[in-house]
Formats: sequence, C-alpha cells, structure tokens
Amino acid sequence: MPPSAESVIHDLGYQRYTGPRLGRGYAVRSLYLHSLRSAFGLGRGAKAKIFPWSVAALIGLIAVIVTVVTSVVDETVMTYPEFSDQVGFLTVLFTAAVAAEVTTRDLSANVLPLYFARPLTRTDYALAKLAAVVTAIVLLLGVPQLLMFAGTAFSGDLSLGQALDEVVDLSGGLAFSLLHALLIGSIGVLAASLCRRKAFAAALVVAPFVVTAPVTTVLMSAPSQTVVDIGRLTNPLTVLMGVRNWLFDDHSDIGSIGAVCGAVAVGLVVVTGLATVIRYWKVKA
Amino acid sequence: MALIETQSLTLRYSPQVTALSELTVSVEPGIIGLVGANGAGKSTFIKILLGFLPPTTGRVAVLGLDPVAQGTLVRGRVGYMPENDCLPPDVSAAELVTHLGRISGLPRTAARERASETLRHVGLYEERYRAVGGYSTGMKQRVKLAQAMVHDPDLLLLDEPTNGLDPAGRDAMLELIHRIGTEFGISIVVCSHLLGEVERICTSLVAIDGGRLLRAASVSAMTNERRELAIEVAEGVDDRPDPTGILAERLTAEGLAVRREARALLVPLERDDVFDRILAAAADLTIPLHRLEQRRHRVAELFESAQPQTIAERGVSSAPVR
Repeated sequence: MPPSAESVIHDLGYQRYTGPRLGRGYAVRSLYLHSLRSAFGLGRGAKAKIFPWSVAALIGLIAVIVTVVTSVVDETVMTYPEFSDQVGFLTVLFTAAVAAEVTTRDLSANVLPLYFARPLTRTDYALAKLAAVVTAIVLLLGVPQLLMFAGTAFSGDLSLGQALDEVVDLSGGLAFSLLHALLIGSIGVLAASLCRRKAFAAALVVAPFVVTAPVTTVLMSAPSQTVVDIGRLTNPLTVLMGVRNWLFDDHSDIGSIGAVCGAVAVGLVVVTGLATVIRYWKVKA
Repeated sequence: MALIETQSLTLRYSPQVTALSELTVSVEPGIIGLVGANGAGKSTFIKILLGFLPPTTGRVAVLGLDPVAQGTLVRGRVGYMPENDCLPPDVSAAELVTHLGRISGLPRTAARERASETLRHVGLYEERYRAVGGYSTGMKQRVKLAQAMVHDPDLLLLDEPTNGLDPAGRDAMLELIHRIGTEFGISIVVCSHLLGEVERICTSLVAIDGGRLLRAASVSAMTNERRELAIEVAEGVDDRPDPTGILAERLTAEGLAVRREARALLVPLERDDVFDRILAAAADLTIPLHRLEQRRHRVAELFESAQPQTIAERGVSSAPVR
C-alpha cells in the first residue's frame, strides 16, 4: 500500500536548541522554587504532603482560635511576635521534615554531580536550599498572622489610627517570623545536610532544640539572674524569645541580655549559613 | 578551534598521589574515546574538564574556555553523564529531566519540550512518566544520558556509559552514542576501559595509562598507518607441497616483509605496487589466489604493539567485535 497523506511518519530527527539560555541566576531561582514546592510536598505524592500540611493546619487553627478569642474578650490575647514564639516547637518539627526533604533527596541518591555539572555553583545550591526552607517557614508563620490581622481588621470597628497600629504590629510580627525562619531554618538545613538518610536528618534537626531544652529549663529557673541569662542562650528558641522581649515587649525587664540574644541569633544564622555552604563544597562530585 | 586542549596538565591529590601527569593533548570535534584501565585517570580528566577539580599545574581549555575561571560558561555548554548511580528513585524521568533542563538555563516550556524530545531520542518516550526507581539498569543509563543532553550541549562527557549493561544493552547504548555524535552533531568524549567498545564508534582515541598520555590520534590515522594485505592461496591444486610457503619465499625475495599467520600471508601495504607484485608473483608461480584483501588492524593491536609493556600488562581489555 502506498503511503497516504495520513500515514506519513513525521520524524523530524534531532533539533538543535536555538532558544534563550537563561544562565546561573535563573538556574538558582528554578532550584529555589523547586525546593520550596517540594517543602510542601507539591509535585510529590500524597504522603509527602501529610506532615507539612498537618503542621500548617495546626498553626492555622491556633491563629483562628486566637482571632476568635480576641474578638470575644475584646483585648489582645497574643501579639504577632508572641505568636511566632508560641508555635516555636511546631516550627522546629516542620523544619525537621522540610529540611530533611529538600536536602537528603539529593544527597542520598547522589544527585549532586548532576547539579554541579550545570551553571550553578555549590554555593548557589546551598543558598537556594537554605532560602527555600527559610521561605517555607516564613509562609508557615506569616500566613496565620495575616489571618489574625484579617480577623481583627474586619470583625471589629477599628479607627484609622488603630488600623495603622495593627499594620505596624503585623509588620513587626512578620519581621520577627523572618528571624525565626532564618535561625531555625539555617540550623535545620545544616543539620539535615549532614545525613543522607531522611529520618536521621530529621532527628538531627530537632536535636539542638530538644537536647538543650532540659538544661535551658533548669538554668532559667535558677535564682541567680546571671544563670538565667546564660540559660536563655543555651537554646535557639529561648534566644528568639529574648529577642522578642528586647524588641517588641514594652514591659519587659530583660535588660542588656536582650541585645546579646539579638547578637547571638544573628551570629548563629551567619555561622550555620556559612557552615552549610562549606558542607556543600566538601561533597564529592 | 580544538574541542579540548591541554598543556602539561597535572593533577595531584596529594604529594604522593598523582592522578594526571604532564598530559598534553589537543582533540578535534567528533566522538572521542578516552580509554584506559580503571584508575588510569579518565574520570579525573573529565572532572577537570567540568571545572570540578582545578589542575595542580598546566593549562586546559574546553570549547576554548577555561573550566576553572569560566566554569559557569563551560558547564552551560557541556553535558555530563556520571559513572555512578545519580538518579532520585521517586520522580519520573520526564520530571527529573525537565527540572535539570531548567537548571541548565532552559525556560520552563522549552525545558518540558526538550525533556520529552530527549527522552524520545534515547528511547524512553513511553515510560517517561514512570518513577525512575522502577527502571532497569539500561533505562537508568538512558535517563542519565537524556539529562546530559537536555540542554543541547556542544560537548557531551560520558563516563563509562555502558557500565552494568548486558551485551545487547551495550550495543544499543553504543549505537545511540554514535547516532548522537554523527546525526545530532554533538561532540562526545566517551570514557571506557573497553577499547574494543569505543573504537567501533569513535573518530579519535585518547589513551591514558597511570595518569600519562599513551597515545592520541584519529582512529583512521591509527588504522591506516598499519594497513596490511592478507593473502590466502588454494592448497592442494597441484603436487607442490605448501604453495603458501613458496609464495612467501618469492615475495621475500622481492623485498617484501612477509609474515605468515596460520594459512594466510600478511604483507605490509607500504608501496603502491604491492598489489601488482603479489599478483605478478602468483601468476608467475601459477598459484591460484583464494583471497587478497586489505586488513585493518583493530586499534587494540596497535596499542599493544606500540606500548607492549603498559596497556597489555595493566589489563586494558577489548570486547569482541560483534
């Protein structure tokens, strides 16, 4: 049978790519977005979505309860910065799952050479992963605060001045959430990147927060103010509380240790961030 | 412009461990076989070309670029297929190759289209939405190849692409590489410890041994320089015993360097009149010729005779030509 018009096989052969090549910045952005999506299990199976979304739902529920109670009793039960502190341990659990997900996937299957053979550098890779985890935490903490804000703004009869105050408070709360995200996220990514197995990585992320907790509790219940101050610095979460007392709490008597907490928080972010970058320079490719 | 050019390239992992030593080579575009025993320095060489390892001393240029100072540019135009397993098990081939295409700088839509196209070219079109973890070794190798060429590189670096494949899988992979190098117009460096495997598909060969350059030349140059004529004559046509021997004596007397190999005579094709002189001698002696053909040496033999002490002893093996 002679080939008819319908039966022609269109094999165009290999086509060279002549379109744009977007380079390193685009590569980093692509990796960042891909990691951020996988942090919430998007583009993955249903199993990968369970944990991050349960934690997110739980924190959202807390925000809703706070909003409802606030509107009923008509006074502030929890400020925006307090909210980040109150859900601190949930944030750590979330970070454990997310950091382990975005780092161990590539480490355990040895995928890194495929990335490093492309335009992005090892530093780019490490920072893109870190940025993805930090963004995930900011979303985890920030979206519920926006809910709280919306609840307050639309349920009560706020004057313009009160509304502006509320916006200022919200901004402070979001800024504080960013600090939370930077500190917990950078510790989390560093810890998770040290393991190839996901479960171990998640455990290692939680460790710095859990292992130090009893010590912190004991020291902070000591009668000596100096010991309390030292105790405050033994756990990242109490460091963050110190920063909140220092920056956002008008009635706090935290004193100069507040500034120390701020310095320690920033220092920890820088050190763990650098360590993460160095860790990825050590990976064999 | 040479595809790859090195000048006294040396890489020491430590003062005691020298992976590459004084390697000077210039390679033209084509399919280049990089052969050597395990541990000869092939993978190290590839990693230098990618800018993963800075050379201790010496210079290297890939596509006219310095892989250390211009690593981002080099890696944008080069595709790399590592030797080891490097695929996450729980994503589909389409998803993985698309993602890596974007990391290579392809816009979202182009990455998706190129991923499908590339997977089709390597023969994984039907299976591309299945998770990679369920793939066979041969399919995984194809995914590794696809991710290396999704961004249409100018140069592909393939580290032991036939590793772990059965003979049929090896043949298919070699044929695919040959097609990419010839029809697709992409230059390829293919690493292998199996000389017989790469000589079938390569236009030139670079042999390294113990971190040193053994030989670098085009395959045709290597085979041409040692062309030989194989002669077989009909035995037992008349009463003369051993007509092959008689012809050999005659040709030797004529000044040709005749070698006897089983029932055949091998005469180096050094001058233009070798054919004529053999024919004349056979006619003169009335010995019927059975076979008179030009024999191309397999590259493996050339390496053996060129460096009998090194490659043969270090066990560069060659797969049988099928």
